[in-house]
Amino acid sequence: MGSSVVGAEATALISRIHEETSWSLGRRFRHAFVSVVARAYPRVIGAAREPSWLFFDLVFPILGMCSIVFLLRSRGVDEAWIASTILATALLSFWISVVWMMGAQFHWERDSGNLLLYITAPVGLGAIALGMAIGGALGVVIRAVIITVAGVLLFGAKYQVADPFLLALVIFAGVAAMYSLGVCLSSIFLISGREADHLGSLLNEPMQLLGGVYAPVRSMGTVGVVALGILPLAPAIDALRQVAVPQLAATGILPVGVELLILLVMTIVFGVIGRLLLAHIERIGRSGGKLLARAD
Amino acid sequence: MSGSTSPAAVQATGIGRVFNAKGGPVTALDGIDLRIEPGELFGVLGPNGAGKSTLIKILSTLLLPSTGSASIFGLDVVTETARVRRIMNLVAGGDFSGYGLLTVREQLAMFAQFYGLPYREGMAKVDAQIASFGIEEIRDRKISALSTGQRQKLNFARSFLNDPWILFLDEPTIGLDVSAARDVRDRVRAFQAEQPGRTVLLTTHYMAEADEMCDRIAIVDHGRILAQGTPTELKRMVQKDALFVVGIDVLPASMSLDSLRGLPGVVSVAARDTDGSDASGVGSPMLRLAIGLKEDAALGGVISALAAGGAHLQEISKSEPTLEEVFVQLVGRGISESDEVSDGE
Amino acid sequence: MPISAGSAPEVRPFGPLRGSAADAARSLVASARLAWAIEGNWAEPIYLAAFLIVRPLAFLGLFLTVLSIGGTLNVATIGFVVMGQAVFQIVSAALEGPTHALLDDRERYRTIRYIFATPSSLLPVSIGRSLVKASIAGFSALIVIGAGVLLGVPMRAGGPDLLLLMAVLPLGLLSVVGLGIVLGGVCVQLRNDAWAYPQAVSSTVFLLCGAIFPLEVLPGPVQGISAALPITWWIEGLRRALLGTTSPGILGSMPTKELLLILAAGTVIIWLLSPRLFVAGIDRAREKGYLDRNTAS
Repeated sequence: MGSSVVGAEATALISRIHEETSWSLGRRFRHAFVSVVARAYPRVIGAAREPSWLFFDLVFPILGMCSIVFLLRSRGVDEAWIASTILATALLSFWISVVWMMGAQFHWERDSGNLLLYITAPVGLGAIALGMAIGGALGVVIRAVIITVAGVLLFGAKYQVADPFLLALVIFAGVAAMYSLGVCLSSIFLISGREADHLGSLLNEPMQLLGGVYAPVRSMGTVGVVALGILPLAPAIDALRQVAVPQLAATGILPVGVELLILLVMTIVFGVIGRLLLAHIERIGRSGGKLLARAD
Repeated sequence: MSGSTSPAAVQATGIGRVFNAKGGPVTALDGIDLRIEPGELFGVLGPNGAGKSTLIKILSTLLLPSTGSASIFGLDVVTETARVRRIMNLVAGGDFSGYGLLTVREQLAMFAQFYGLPYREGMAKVDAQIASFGIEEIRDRKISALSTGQRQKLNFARSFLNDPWILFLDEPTIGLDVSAARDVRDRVRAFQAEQPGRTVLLTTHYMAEADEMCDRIAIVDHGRILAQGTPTELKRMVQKDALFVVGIDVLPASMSLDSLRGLPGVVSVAARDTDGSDASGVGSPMLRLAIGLKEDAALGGVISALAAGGAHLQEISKSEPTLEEVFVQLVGRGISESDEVSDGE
Repeated sequence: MPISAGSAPEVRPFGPLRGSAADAARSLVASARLAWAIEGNWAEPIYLAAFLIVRPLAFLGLFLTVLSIGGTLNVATIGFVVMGQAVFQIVSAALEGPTHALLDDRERYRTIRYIFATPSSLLPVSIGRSLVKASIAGFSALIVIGAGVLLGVPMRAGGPDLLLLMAVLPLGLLSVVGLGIVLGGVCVQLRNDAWAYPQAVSSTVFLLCGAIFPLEVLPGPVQGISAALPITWWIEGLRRALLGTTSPGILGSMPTKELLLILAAGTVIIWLLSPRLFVAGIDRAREKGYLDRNTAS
C-alpha cells in the first residue's frame, strides 16, 4: 500500500510538479519535432516490413490509369493526353495517401485504441498527423515514380520538360498543399464516426472529377474555376500538365506561376486551419464524449 | 470527505457528466466529490455502468465534465490539460492498442518520444522497463504476435516510461490470468514505493483486488459515491465490531458463554458450531466460538481466560465482512446482480 | 436421463450447405436482414445521399469529361458509358461484398468464429450479405441511368425488352455473386492485404468487361479474357434490353440468343465451382488459424 504525502511535503511536491510541467517554448518545439519523427517511424518501418503494400498500391492506380487511357484511345485523342493521364495518376497517389493514410488514420487509430494513448500523451494530434504524412510520403514517392515509369513503358508516353526545376517545384507545392489539407481532413474524419469509410470514398472520385485530374477543369466551367481555388489537386494537376506536356499548355486555366502561388497559400491556410480544427475537434470530442467512442 | 488543507493529488468537486443518447440524456456521474492524497493508491469500486470509467476519463483529460471541476496536483483538467498530460499516464484493461508491425522495444521507444523523454534517456528507460517486467525475451517480437498478458505488460511498461506522478488504471487486470494479475499488482506497488508522492487511481469491479491493493476506496453506483474510506472503515460500516472465531476443544466447566460475555472488551459471544473429526476420520472435536470485540486488543484477555479455565486453543481466525457484503449493504444488491440490472437498462 | 438409440440426432454428411435447404434459406434470410441493418445504418442521411447518388454520378461525370476531350459526345456514346457504369455499380458491390462481409465479421465485429460454430454454413450467410449490397447498389445504378436519360440518352423504342431483361438480370447477378463468393473464399485465407484483393479484382474486371469502352481498344489476347467473363455479356445484354443498342465489335455481332447461352453457361459453370471453392477456402483458413485473426495486428 502507498504512503500518503501530506503537509509541507505535499506542498513541496506540488511546487516541484508545477515546475516540471512548465515547458519552455523551445522544449515544446523540440518535443513536437521529435514526436513527428517518432510517428513517422512506424510508417517507414511498416512499409519496409510488409512490402506487399507496394503491389496493391501500384495495382489500383495502374488499373485506373489503364481504364482512362483505353477510354481516351477509344476516342482517338492526341497521345499528349495519354501522357497527361499518366502524370495525373502519379500525382493522384499523393491525394489517395492524404485521404486514407492521413485523413482516415485517426479514425482507425480510435478503433484500435491508439488514439487514446496519443491524446493522453503530451503530444498534440497535429504533430502525430504530420508524422504520419512524412512517414507515408517516402512510400508514395516511390509509388508515383513507378506509376510514371509503368505508364511510359505500357503506353509509350513522351514528355518535354523544359524546366525540371519548375516541374519539381510544382510537384512539391502540390504535395505540400495536399498534405496540408490532409491535416484538416484528419479532424473531419475524427468526428465522422462510422461514416468515415464512406467519407473517404466520397473524397476519391468526386475529387478526381472536380480536380480536373483526367480532363482539364476548364471543361467544367464555373465549377472548375471554383475547384481551382479550393482543391489542391486542381491547380497542381493543371500546372503539372502545362509544365510537363507543353502540347497541352493551352488547356491550362491559369499561368503556372499563379497556380504555384495558389498552392503556397493553400499550404499555409490549410495548415493553420487544420491545426485549429484538430484542437477544436478534440475539444468537441471530449465535450460530447464521442472522441473515443468506437464507430459502429 | 477530508477537510485537509494539504494539497491533494486529485481534487474533484461536484463532478457531473451527462451524455446525450438517442433515448434521452443519460447521467453517468452525479455530483462526485473526491479527494486523493499524494502517494495514495485509491480505488473506485462499482459494477458495470456505475460511472467508474467516466470518472477516470474526466480525470485523465479524455472527457470534459458537464458540471463541477477537478484538478490533478493543482492543475485543472479542463484548462491546463497539456500540463496534466505531462505528469500522468493511463492503462486500460482489455487494451489491444499498438502497431502490429512494430516490435515491443520499438513501440516503447516511440512512446518514450511522445512523452518528451530525450532519446538516450528514453531508450534507457525502455530497456529498464523491459527488464523490470521480465519481457526481455519478447523485446524484438512484433506486437501482433503477443499474447493478452504480454500486451498488458507492454501497456504497463509504456505507462511507467515517463515516471508519471499520477497513474490511472482502468480495470487493468481484465482478461489476465491469476499469475499475470498478481504480477501487475506487485509491479504497481513497487512503482509507488520507488518515489513518495506517486499516486494511483484504480477502477475495478473485482472486490478482492480493491481490498488487497487500495489505501482507500470509493464505492460508486449509478454515478454517485455511496461510501468512501479505507477497506477496514468500509467493512466496519457493515460490522462495527471485530469478530474472531476461536476454536477450543471444549468450554471449561467453570465458564459459560455469559461469563465470556462479561470479559472486558467483549461485545458478543456465540457458539458457532461443533466440529467432529475431520474428513479422514481423524481429529478431536472442536467448539468454535464467534466472539465480537470492541477492539482487537481485547482478544488477549479472552484467550487468557479460556486458557486459565483449562481450554486448549486449536485455532483463531479473524472474520471480516468482505467488500461484497459492504456493497450489498450499501446498494441493496450484489455486484453481479448490479451488472444484470445495468445490462438490462 | 439416458438418450435412447431411437432418439439420437441424425448426423448429416458435411456438404457445402452443412444441412438442409431450409437451413440454408433461413441463414440466407437472416444474413440478408443483418446486411440491410448494417448497410442501412447511416448516421446522417446526407452521407447516404452522397454515397448512393453523388459518388456514382461523379464516376459518370469523370468518364464523360474524359470522353469529351475527343470532341462532342453523341448520345450513343453517352448511353454506352452510362449503361456500363450503372451496371458496374452492382458488379463491384456483388464482387466485393462477400469478402468485405467476411472480413468485417472477422476483424471488426469479431463474430465469424461464433457464426462458424453454428450449424449454419458461411456460404448462405455470405450470399445473403452480397445480395443486399448488390440491391443497394442497384439504387445507384438507377440513379446513373436516370442521369443518362436527363443527358438525352434514348431508351429502347417501345420500352425495355422485358423478356430479355428478365432473363439477363438474374443470370448476370447470379454470375457476379458467384464470383464474389469465390473471391471471399480466397481472401479469408489471407492475413495481410486481404482487404485490397477485392478492389484489385473489381478494378481488373472493370478494365476487361467493356463497361466504358469497346473491347476492341484492348490488346488482342486480352480481348479473349474479356469475352470469357460472364459480366461482359451481362452488360451487353442489359444494353440491348434497356437501350436497344449493341456494342461495336465482337459483342455487338453476337446474336442475342447466343449471348444468353454464353451468359447462362458461364453462370452455371461459376455456380458448379464457387460453393466448393468457397468452402475449401473457409476450411483452409480454419486450418491456418485465420478465421479469427486480424489483418492489421
